[in-house]
Amino acid sequence: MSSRRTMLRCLLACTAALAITAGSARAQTPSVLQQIISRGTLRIAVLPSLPPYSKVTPSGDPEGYDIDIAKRLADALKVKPEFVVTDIPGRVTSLQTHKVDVTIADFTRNVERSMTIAFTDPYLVTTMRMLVLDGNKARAITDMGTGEGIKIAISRGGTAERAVPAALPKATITRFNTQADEMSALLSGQVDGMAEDDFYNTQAIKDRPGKLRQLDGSLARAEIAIGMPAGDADLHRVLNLFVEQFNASGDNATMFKKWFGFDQPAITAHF
Amino acid sequence: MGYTFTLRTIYPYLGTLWQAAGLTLALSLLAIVISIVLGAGIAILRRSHSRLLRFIGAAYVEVMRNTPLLVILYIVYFAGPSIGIRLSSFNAALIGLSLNSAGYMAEILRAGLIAVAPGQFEAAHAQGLTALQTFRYVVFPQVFRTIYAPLGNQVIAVILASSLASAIAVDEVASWMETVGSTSFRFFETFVVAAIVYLVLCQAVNLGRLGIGRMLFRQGAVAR
Repeated sequence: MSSRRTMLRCLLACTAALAITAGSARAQTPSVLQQIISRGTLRIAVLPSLPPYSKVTPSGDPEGYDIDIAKRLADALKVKPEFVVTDIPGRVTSLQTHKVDVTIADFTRNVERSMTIAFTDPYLVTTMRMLVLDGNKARAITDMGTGEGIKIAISRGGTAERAVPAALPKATITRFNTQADEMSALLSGQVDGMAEDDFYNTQAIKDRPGKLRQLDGSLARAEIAIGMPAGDADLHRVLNLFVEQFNASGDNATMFKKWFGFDQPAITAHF
Repeated sequence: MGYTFTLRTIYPYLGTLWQAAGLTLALSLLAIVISIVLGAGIAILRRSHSRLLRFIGAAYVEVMRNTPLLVILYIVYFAGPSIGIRLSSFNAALIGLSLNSAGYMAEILRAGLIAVAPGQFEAAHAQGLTALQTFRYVVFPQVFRTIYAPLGNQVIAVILASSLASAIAVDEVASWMETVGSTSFRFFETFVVAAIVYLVLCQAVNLGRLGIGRMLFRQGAVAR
């Protein structure tokens, strides 16, 4: 029975792979802050196509709001920035495997996520809102009722996973990997709305005049923060101080206006 | 502090994994059956006496083999509505996957048809069998025996390719992997679990195929 033997071998290989992953994870590493200082560079994970947060220009250099923050941070640490362009899972895994020191990539923090990586204080707070075709009957999210018979496009595993069912318990959740796919689904009529970042929606409406609009009301509040590996208290201390002063000095507001074209909403929450 | 691989952290998400695995299995098995039927038709077209039918068969195979499945899925799901064909995610994925796999199935089946000696067609004709009877009783039993091994490859290829259906919002295993990874940030755990699920699904379907083969070809050597 060669097939049974093949199966056994595959299982053995899997077990071995697991053992290796678990073993290497326990290896000792010097503090991340010390590594950054010794190396003289700050390695930053960024996303390739999320303008105006970040995008890779034809010359290969990234640019955008998140990129300017990264450059400012490297400046403050007196080291050179080194950008590592990655994807959605890579934002997290590259921190966990120490391929990068920090992630600055429209990263929404929450308690569950902070159990695997650390987040700084937020440098931006956005709301999640509903984008619909201009011809949609609803004016506000509440006009959609329980959401029965309504399809909503969301980003897989994002803030909307909880926010949309909370607002529209009977709506059908339609999951996509990228915002571009969500947009295609909305424009082709495969979904009735897409739940996305207010800033993204605002830009999308501007890019397609007369086709799209946002419904009144917000679905969720998202705190955007810098991500770093868990367990490095020194780096966390330094990054938090950087974010606090970056926010307080007004530099953040200036940088935001440069990339988004409108004033930055308040970062503090109303309790 | 390094990363500690902890499967315990994704236990809360295992409930949705079974649904996802069921969807992957349903999507793949249906696509395999449909693409065998469709592929058989195209393979026969390619052996036709009519030049036009041969061309249609060859064109179908080349178009499907030379376009990425992802593009076909996008066309069926996103472009379909603009010509009035609005399909659910699952149906769009099933059609895209079947159309794509049929291109490969056609080539596998054609190889099987070529392996049947022309003399057998003549003999069947001489016995007074109709064309349909010739295929049913003489040709296909031999074709299936010849193609059993390459068919196994294609069956597994379809199951693995079904992971692309997540791009058009089908909540199958790859979708579960991305969703749970992004929710919990436990990507390593979800990657490993998804890999094991695909391994088990592919092996289960492959063992099923071998079982069917053993039943069909009791006498003589079993093609693996």
